[in-house]
Amino acid sequence: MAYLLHQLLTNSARRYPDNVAVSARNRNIAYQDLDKISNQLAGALRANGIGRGNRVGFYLNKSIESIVAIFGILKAGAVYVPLDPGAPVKRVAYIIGNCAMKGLVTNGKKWTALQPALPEPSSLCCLVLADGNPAGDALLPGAVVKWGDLSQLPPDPPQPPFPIEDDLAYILYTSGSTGEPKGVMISNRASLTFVDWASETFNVGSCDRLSSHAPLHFDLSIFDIFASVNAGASVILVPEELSVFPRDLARWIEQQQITVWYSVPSILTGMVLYGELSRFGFERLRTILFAGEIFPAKYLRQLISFIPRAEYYNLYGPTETNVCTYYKVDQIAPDAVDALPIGKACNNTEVFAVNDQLQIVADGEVGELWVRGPSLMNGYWGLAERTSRALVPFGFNPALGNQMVYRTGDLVKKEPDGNYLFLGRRDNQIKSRGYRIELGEIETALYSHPALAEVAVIAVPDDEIGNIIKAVVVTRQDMQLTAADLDRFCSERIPKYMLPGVIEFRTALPKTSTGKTDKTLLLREHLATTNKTEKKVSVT
Amino acid sequence: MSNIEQPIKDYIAREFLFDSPEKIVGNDDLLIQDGIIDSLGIFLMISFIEQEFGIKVQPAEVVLENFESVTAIRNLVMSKMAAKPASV
Repeated sequence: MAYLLHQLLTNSARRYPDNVAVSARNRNIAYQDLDKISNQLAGALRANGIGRGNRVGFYLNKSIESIVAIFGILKAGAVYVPLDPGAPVKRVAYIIGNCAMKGLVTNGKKWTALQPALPEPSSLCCLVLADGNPAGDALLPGAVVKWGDLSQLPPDPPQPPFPIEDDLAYILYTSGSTGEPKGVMISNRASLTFVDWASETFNVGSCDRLSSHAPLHFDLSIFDIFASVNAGASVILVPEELSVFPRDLARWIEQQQITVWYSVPSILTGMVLYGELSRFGFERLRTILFAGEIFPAKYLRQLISFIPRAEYYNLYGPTETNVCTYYKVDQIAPDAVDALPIGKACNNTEVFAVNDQLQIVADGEVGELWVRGPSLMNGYWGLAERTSRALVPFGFNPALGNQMVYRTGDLVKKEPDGNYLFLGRRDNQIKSRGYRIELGEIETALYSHPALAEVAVIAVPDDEIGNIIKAVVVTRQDMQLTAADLDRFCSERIPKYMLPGVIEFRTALPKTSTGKTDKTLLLREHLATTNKTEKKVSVT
Repeated sequence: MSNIEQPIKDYIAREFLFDSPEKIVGNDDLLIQDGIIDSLGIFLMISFIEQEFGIKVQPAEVVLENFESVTAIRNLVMSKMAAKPASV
């Protein structure tokens, strides 16, 4: 039995040595080869002083090499930290510094761009170059390992010391309300709790072909990679440019004979609207999973009518809990307008709703969703105080003492059929295209602009992408500023998906009676204006 | 016929390249493969050309070959405008 994530690979390599483990742009790697090269990468990391508990990042476009990096890092006993290849280098450098990253797998081009942004002295002592050479003047850390040299190393797995199941497997950085990303620490045990549940619930077998659509720094990728490897199945990496074209993506799903698809709903909505799904039979597509945001009923209903044979599941869970509830979608009534339920707790997970007096509410009453079980995170990296607000002791029975539970910040209510409904957030966190975004992080980025006096960022609900981000700003007297200036400024600080879609300049912001910025009024004003005009993207 | 490429290039510079103002988009630069327009951006581009040129892009036309470069987008717009005079 596996108690560490990388053992899933070792086991499958033994049982299914010749099965294709990963396929990317028609390059395949078999289980035995993935096992061997990840051993060699682990050996290289070990030889350069990296071991149990050290953080090792990878900063690459999604590729076979990035999957090798995941397993090589885990086999070395280290903690993998996936870095968004599209994020501004300042943000990537912040994360490297924040978790005192010791090793990094990247390529020459990316290192050349990143290196000048790194803090000095850098914690990095080992660089693994998957391809290419850095520019001549780029500084290098102590040790540099080239991908081509890995095959010269012994193929044996590393020797002890090994982690235990409570040790970290990976850290996923998410948007932080204070303006800096925060690292969610997930242990081997927490991840395996989810992977075991998902593998069984969705019946993943060695003949399955799973899509890998979500970026590897996004927690949806945990299912794609590890449920697939657990089963000896194949994971097929979706070429990034296909996500841009629903029609091409639909054809790719058909051609690649994907059996299990998992993505945020907006990608599926895009395919319903623009993918011309009726062209295909999708004979092998048996399960469609989605998570990360609300799937509008009208688009899901259309998707089901295009692909009626598949089973559909709505998965719910902040990164901090992996997945904690799920809902199997059967039929959607033609007149259904209600949001899809987030469902019931996964096996080995308990959820309940709590009111402001910290009492569990009765069914049908609104409360904050709290989660208990082995799938919870260990905490936020280096943020003890933040952690203690999110992971709290809760007493069910005084004789048992307190149990740790995670407060999701999501408001829910339990329906008579036992399914939970998501109603909204307690705070300023929103979802846009499935990405989790703290409006405070965008406001902090804007406030750091010297010409801005006042800033408010609001989320405008949108059917296709969840929310459109709007910034309303007031410039300091005599300061000239354009929306393009602000776009450029923000893009150096926050990822693309967080950039405001709309920027409005005002001479002052409306205030509530308590002197706070009146965001409710800003939203009302926005909706009143836009309702008069046609929606930007027409929908059927 | 009024210039089609320039508004498209201006829009790309404004919406997608604000982080590298020094970059000038060439007619045949690869917009998708080079990550200038991503999945977040394609719908913005579609709604821009629909509004700017008074056309309606059909689902079947939202494919890589119609959006891979400024030239490709221009050709798409021109063929749409030729097929049906603009009526906004």
